[in-house]
Amino acid sequence: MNALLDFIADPHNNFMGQSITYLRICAISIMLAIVIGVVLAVAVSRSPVLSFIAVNLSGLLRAIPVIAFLVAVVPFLGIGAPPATVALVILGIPPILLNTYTGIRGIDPATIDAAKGMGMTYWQILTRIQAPLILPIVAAGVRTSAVQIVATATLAAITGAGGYGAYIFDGFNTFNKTAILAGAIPVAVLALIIEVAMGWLERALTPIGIRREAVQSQMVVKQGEVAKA
Amino acid sequence: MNYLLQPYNYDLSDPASIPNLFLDHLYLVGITMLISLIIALPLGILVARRPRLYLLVITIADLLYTVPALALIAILITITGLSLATAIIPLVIYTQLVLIRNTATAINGIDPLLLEVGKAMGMNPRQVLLRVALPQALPTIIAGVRIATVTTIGIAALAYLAGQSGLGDLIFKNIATTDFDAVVAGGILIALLAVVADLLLLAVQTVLNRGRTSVSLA
Repeated sequence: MNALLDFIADPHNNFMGQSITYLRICAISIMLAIVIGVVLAVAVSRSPVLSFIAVNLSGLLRAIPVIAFLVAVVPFLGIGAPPATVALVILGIPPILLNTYTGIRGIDPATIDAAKGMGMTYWQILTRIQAPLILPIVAAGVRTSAVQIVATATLAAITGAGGYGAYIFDGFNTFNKTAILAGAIPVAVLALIIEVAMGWLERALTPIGIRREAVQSQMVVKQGEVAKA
Repeated sequence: MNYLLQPYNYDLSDPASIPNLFLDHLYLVGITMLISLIIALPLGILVARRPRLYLLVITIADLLYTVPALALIAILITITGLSLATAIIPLVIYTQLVLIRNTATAINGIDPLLLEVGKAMGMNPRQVLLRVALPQALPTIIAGVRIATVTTIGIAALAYLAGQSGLGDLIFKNIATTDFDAVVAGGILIALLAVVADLLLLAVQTVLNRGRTSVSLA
């Protein structure tokens, strides 16, 4: 344990710098994945053909091992952070896309009709009916994506992007257990924190009236969680 | 693609040839699924119809599932070293969430009335289990096995880091020499294996379902 603290404190190892690199890659990837995932889902939701393609393509992506994907983009984007970010964004999109799509399609048309009947305007329906109903489901997708991205970003060290993965792989190569743990433990802790925090956010975003149902549907919605680093 | 087309990569006497790595990979996945089912099935049956216990077990499985594979293997290497256990333990841990959840859901989903009808027709408990309960629960359980198998095939690539051979060798060994042909070949083979396994288990699921629509969770 002391060796681990020494390793972290050693300025030569630049623990703060690697942490910032790691967090930056994760944060940028998650943001981009959310924006692209939600926009794509909204764009395809009206066309059965497009949504069929998008949903099945997302499913297919799960079968490709992350690491092969990461290395496959190197010839196109070079080494460093950009290829890692692109790979992470592409991997992060499917759960968000699938959940947003499921959320949009899952709204009972009768609910919208009822809102119209009560005299709500288009804007009111969007902000007071649709958004609250979809948000928790989208949040579940973001949770899956975020955990996945944090987990996979360690592999980004292979493309020379740095971060905690650099400690892990350096540790493997030099049989340095301290370096391995200095990379592995922060990643594991970070993933757990995100999982728990997003789970809390998801519940907080769920309208009180549908909380009981939401627990049930959450089991189905978490379909996208399969792909793993 | 060149790597996949070279005949010398299929030399059976070479332990690092594609067919041998393929078998090693299947071996890892096979052992993992066997151990996973031995743990998850009884556990799933135990927690079914016990909501509190279910929530506890699922929460633990979910948290374990969250730990990144690379980090888990890395931590295990410092404990169990480069061994089969280091490769298998994370794989088994990652299958548990899906398997337990689907088994419990399958058991919960059996209409109690059907069990009553079985009894009323004079079936003994064994017959009720084998002829009524199992056929009802099996499709959902297999749906879980399907997802778990595909996931395991993908993560098993990391077994290389624990010193176990498999298709991951093609990827990790050739990254250092930037032999992208071999790396991509590894990726393609693993993805292919995952897709084939997925379709095979889907076929099993459909047969077991006898044409009824399947409820697949997880």
